[in-house]
Amino acid sequence: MSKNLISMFDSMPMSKPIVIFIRRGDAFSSGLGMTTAYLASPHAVRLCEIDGTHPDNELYRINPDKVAAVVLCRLNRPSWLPAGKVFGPGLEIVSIGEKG
Amino acid sequence: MNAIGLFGAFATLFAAGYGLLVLLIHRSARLSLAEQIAFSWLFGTGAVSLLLWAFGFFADGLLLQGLVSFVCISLGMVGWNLKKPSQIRSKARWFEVVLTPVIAIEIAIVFYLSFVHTLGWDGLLNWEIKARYAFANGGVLPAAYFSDTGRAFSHPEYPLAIPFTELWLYLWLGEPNQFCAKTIFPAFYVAGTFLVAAFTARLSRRTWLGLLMAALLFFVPQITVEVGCASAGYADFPLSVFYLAAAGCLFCASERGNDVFFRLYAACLALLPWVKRDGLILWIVAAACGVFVILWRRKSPLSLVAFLPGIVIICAWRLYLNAMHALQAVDFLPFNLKTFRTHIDRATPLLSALLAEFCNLPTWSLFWFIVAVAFLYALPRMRDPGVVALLLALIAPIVLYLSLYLFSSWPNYLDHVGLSISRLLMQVTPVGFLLIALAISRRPERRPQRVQMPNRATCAIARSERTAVVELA
Repeated sequence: MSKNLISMFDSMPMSKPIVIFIRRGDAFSSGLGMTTAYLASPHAVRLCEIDGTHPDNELYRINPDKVAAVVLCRLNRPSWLPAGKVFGPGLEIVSIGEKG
Repeated sequence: MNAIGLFGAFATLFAAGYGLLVLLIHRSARLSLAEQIAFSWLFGTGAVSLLLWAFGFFADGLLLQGLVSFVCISLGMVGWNLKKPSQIRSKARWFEVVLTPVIAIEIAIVFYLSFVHTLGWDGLLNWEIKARYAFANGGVLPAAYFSDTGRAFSHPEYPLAIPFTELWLYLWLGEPNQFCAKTIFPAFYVAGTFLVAAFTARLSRRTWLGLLMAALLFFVPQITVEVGCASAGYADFPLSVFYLAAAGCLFCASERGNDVFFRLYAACLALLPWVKRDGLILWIVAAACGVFVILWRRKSPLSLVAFLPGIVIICAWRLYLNAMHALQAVDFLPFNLKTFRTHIDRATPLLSALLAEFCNLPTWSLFWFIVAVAFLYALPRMRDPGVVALLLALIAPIVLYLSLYLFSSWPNYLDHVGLSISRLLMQVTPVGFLLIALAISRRPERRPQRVQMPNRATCAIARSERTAVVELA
């Protein structure tokens, strides 16, 4: 799984950061987020901790032109956001802009 | 290919460590093979990680690997030329013959456990992450990593002995191979086992007791199977081995005129803050014990130079972090009197938590109960500076670590305690074994120069004789 994650991150533009959403008080979600951040190197990452399971408000504030991907760790993807690639239970990566 | 790379990495690590060891003892002492292996490993990992960091300021990639390899091989050759050729072997007793394969099996099990389990949380996200990022950047940690808020969870401010030893393996393997990187942790277990055996044999003059203590190390669950154990890729067990080496050498150095072990103590002391941030506390305690021994034995004031390498490493790392604008950990509140006063009410719950941890049989088995009995046995021997230093080395870190939780910034500081106290206690566990050995081998006074059995190990005769201590290999 980690190889697939790394190759997916490799396909994303290096100049843009990856935003990882984790759920406050959920150790499993935090673990997934940190592991994803580890594998996303050398991309810059931003870890965003949110209350609840719906990051709608936080996602609205993101400028899609300035982000390579959004990672949801045990969080629900809003219906307006395109479906991403799901890795195991609870990890979904929504690629915003492909390389080249 | 991996096997060749792994051999190259380990050979250069041992060569560097052996060279440094021989330079430190410089023909004035003979160590057992077990001690030579253990010290070579400790000094090798310390030296290689420091060299990678230092040379990384002006070199990277193959040049960096070549420069460090050159220094390692040069040190190895110097060590080989200066080594003492002969060794005295004692005839092993039946009990020793039984215990040696037991220890070998235990070591094999630790290697097996390391290979079948993945790296633990800290092992991966605090330590291996640095090795991987440095490898991807030609052997140098990217400057951006230190101020990367998205990866602040990986504690960029932690020192580099463990990750850069892993990096050394990666450089030789040509790829970041976590499976191979895990081999360094059982190697630390081997070093710890050998040192427990060797120091116990030295302070008790009984080889069988050394082997027994080394065999019993395996039966502390925190060391072998619990979270943060010796095979999980955490830095706590390696730190405990460095601390054991420092404390054991200081005990031996407390004998009059035993400057060899004082030099070894100084080298191990210097590496403590380089292994883990907590090593700074162990450094302070071990340095205080060293000052105590210097004053008690009226050693030359020049002995204070022993603290210089550690101070240099502490300051250099601090300066480097400042220059890199490294993010600081947020686990603790500011260390000042105001915080202390406002959080002093935590003292009683903290003591309760510590006692509960001591009584935690699934984690510690009977270890702390036996240490408590050994402590009582050691009390009448407080006229011996070595015993006082050993007691201080065991108790002071526990007191200091517990005091740290007064400053914990966690919403529930008891969660902080629950998550880390067993690993912090593990850092002094091997020293506890020395105390137990001291109690078992209870003698009214040590007589440093009375050597009745030249092939039996003591700290006193180590100045001039190769000891027959646990020739495990």
